[in-house]
Amino acid sequence: MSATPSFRAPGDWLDRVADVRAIALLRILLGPIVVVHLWTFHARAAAGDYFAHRFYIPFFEGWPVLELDVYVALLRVGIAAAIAMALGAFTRLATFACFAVVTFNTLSNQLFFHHNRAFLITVLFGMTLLRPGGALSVDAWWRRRTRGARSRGVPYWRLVLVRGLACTPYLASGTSKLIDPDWFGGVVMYDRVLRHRHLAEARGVPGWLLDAIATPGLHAVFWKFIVLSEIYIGLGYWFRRTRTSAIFLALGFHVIIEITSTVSVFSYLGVAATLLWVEPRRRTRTLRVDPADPAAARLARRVRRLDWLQRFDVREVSGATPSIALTDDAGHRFTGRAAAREAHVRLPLLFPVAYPWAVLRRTLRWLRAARR
Amino acid sequence: MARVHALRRALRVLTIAGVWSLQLGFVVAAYDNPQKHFGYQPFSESSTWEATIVRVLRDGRRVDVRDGWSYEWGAMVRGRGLDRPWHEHHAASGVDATLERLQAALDWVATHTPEDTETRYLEAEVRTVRNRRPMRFHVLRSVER
Repeated sequence: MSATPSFRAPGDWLDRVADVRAIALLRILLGPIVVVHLWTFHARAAAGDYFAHRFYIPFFEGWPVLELDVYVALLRVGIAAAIAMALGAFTRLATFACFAVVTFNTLSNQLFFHHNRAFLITVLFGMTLLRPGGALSVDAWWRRRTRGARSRGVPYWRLVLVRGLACTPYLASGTSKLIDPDWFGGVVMYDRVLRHRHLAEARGVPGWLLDAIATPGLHAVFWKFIVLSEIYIGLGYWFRRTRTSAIFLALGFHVIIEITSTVSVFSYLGVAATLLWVEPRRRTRTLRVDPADPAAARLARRVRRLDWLQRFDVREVSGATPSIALTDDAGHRFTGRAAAREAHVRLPLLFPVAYPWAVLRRTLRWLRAARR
Repeated sequence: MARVHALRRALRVLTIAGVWSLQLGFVVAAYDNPQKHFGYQPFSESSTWEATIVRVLRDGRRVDVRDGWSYEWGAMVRGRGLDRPWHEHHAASGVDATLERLQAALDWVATHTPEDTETRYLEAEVRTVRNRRPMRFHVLRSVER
């Protein structure tokens, strides 16, 4: 099956097959996230500290309450399944087991519920639909070895379905804050900053900085920006023109949350889930370099090493002029430094630095042109 | 063949619409649910709460649950600040969610302390501050034992 979601007619996307490499990478990252999530429950239960021996609130009447030994065994199954999922061994079964254990555990007690755990359940549900063992997995290796089969793709419509679920937390959270005057007006976060000031002071944050942060006017503006950013992320993911900026905003958003709040695995999950929005096509960008040019050769090596999503077709052409040329998937051609910058933006590891740098340069160029 | 193909496409669209509608249903329903389960409304309030919990005995006396009781409140109720309600806590998920949880905790403790024969019911006097507004007082009472 070929991975070619370049659509010609409306509705074509319903028949297409998407490349599964980014989803496979998400699967690998999800494994440790699920292990960390379940481990906290396991550590307590294995020490005999069982939630069902105290006050708890099941989500549904009649929800089964397991014996402590069985509960511990179930969590161990979930942890083992998460490891298998990350490795890509019996991937479908392992992914479903992860989803089932995490969901069962969360629904066992309302006191376990957090929105970050709901998001974990949602992403795991999505992964059960996405054949995440199609690449970078023991399963794929075994298939290749025994049947010579190449990595399989995933129906593109399923990816669209899962993307819809994955953007909901941003849209729902942003909308709820947009219509809440306390949130949109900045009162909620201003109050939180005031309440947690002593913790920041204890960590050595200078008083002048805390005074600056604790200004009501600043909060009235800053949190509007945050709320609108959330909505922008949820919507911006969907459009080709805004997707890259939405992914960058999402990364910044999750870093801020991780620094300022205790949200368990949410930040890591949110960052990992941005992989769902990677265009599911391989080798759609052609980088042509002259190996005799040291800078071009270095760029080619860097791209080959860091192109984890296999988006580049790197070709070394002796005597090529210019020595660096990049043609992207929309047919735009970049040369020299602009090509290098464009390539860096598409490498996952360099993206957080390369993208703002590229935006800054573009903005400065635009300002210079506007002044003239 | 073309009809099968069209049917398959229609089923795919319906599946997407169905799953998205379900998700949207959870989000909308959360506005009527104090706990906001699956509604994705994190950090909804900066509110705080604290409570004094007493046992109201059959002779009418009111005794703090920390005083001379054969049961320990903090060993029976844990999480979300419920184990030490007499200290100020951030109302995670909001004041309404906290009050609902505390009510459930009172009921649970009232029905899971069989050796206590003198308590009629438990009562919580809760002080809440919702997003910097003036403090409000609430009284929650457990089921009769």
